[in-house]
Amino acid sequence: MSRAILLQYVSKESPIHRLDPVTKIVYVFSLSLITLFIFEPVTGLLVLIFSVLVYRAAKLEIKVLRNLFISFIPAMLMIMFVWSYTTAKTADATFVWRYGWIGLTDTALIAGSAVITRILSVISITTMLLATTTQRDIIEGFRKLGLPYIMCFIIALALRTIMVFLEDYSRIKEAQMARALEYERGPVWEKLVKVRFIVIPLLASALNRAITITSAVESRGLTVGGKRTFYHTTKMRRFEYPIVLGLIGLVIFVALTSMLFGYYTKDWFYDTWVPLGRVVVGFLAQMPR
Amino acid sequence: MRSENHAPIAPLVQARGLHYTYPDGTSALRGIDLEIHRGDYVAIIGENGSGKTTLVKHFNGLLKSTEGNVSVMGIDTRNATIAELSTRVGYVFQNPDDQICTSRVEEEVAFGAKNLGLPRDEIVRRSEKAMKETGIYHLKDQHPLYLGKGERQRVAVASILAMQPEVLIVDEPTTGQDRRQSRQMMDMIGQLYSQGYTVIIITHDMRLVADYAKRVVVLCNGKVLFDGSPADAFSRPETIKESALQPPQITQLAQMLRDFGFPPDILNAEQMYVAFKGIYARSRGI
Repeated sequence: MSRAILLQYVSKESPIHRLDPVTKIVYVFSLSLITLFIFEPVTGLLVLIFSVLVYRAAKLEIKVLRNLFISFIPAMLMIMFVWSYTTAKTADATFVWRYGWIGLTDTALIAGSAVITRILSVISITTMLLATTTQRDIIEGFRKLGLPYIMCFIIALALRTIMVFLEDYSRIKEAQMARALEYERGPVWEKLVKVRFIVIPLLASALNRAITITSAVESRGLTVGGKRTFYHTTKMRRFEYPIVLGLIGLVIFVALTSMLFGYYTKDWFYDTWVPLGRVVVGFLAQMPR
Repeated sequence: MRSENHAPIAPLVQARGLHYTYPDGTSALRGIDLEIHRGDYVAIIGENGSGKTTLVKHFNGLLKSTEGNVSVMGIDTRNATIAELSTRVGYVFQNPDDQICTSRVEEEVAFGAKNLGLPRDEIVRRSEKAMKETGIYHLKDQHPLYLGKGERQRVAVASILAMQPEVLIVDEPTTGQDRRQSRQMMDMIGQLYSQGYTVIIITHDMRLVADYAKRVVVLCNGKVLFDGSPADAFSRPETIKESALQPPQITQLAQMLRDFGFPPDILNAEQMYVAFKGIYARSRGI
């Protein structure tokens, strides 16, 4: 009975919900692509703020996003410290903070926080897509973008599987807890060992389900290739075309500036944002109280 | 183990004003008051989504009430871990495949007892006893996943029994099994009941309810609609109508023939035969 709230369609009335799936898919891909060119945190933060604003505009609960963010904190700290360790010996890295053999270098701090904004942006963007678009519409969007039907079908199955997998997981977890398995107790190593009691039934059920799906699909005569017609289609409204073009333009702009002029890197951060920050701070200090 | 006069004894499981709302806002239980006594054989019935599984998940602490409380042998379930409660209330899940995680039946049965941290010989003793009680001792070296559905279900029951709970909850023990297998499963549960276990089953099969259960709790929209004997439950048209349940066919027939003097609470063929004989004799003036 337990329902996974994560990664699930949330039926709400919002301008984002009404957008054509194509627009939303282009948004997801273009912003995700943009984040790949960003290696410093300020631009990353701008992208993150933008994606969270779009998420909010879809009237989705910010709580879900916050919990997701929190769950990534350990991984983020790990990135920072591991990168500091690996960049410590490079020529241009200086330690910002140091305690014994652990510490933080500026390279790791800048690149690490950029990666964090990247991860968080991509989480917000994809959560938004999955929460505002029904699976049927997502597939329809991919199809309109020219993806072969068989690929669309695989994506549909994958999306569906995530949900089923989460449901299976919580049911199996409960079944094992009913047999006194306390997998949250004990040292980390023990916890990891105990996870197998959940993973094994989970894999068994996934395999069984794969067999069922295969025979269901075959018995309905699904074939690859050939021309298909569709009952369900969506239509892009006129104002959505400039949005799509704008997003594509933005990707091209970011890619070109990054590749040709070396923007959004550590050096660019020191050359652009730091002086800009100084100017802003200076301006604020001069303001009459 | 089973006490003959259970009136003055404190209930094993007690729910008071139990409310439960799922995180997504679905209100599943809306004020349940229920007592399960030692020696009860309770069938919990109701439509899909009436709250049956949600209710029993409160009995072993898998869910904690949003309002009201549940106590198991005097312990408030909110203050106990599931592991602690599992030695008092054993819950067999609907699908045995959700828990099979070892490669031998014997290990699978011992799983719960092992988790309780019992000494080795005690685990072996308990799991052997559980396998004998459920009639799967001869399968102990087999791989549980390769057994039939009925046998896998028995493995699941045995693995709960090895933790020696007093109350045994079995969630839909007969789904996906043929008539004969269902009967065998229910006979086994009946045997466990006569050995002293307090049994709670969730089922949709009204014939099994009529034949096996001693007490019926009808749930409807998260509330207890009826609590009493199976004969009483099926002879109340208003309860039946509200909960959208169908009494066994023989009971339906008796209710249709009410005008001829058939009692409405007939549950099986034997009772029908006796009633018919009586009415026939009277009509012939014998």
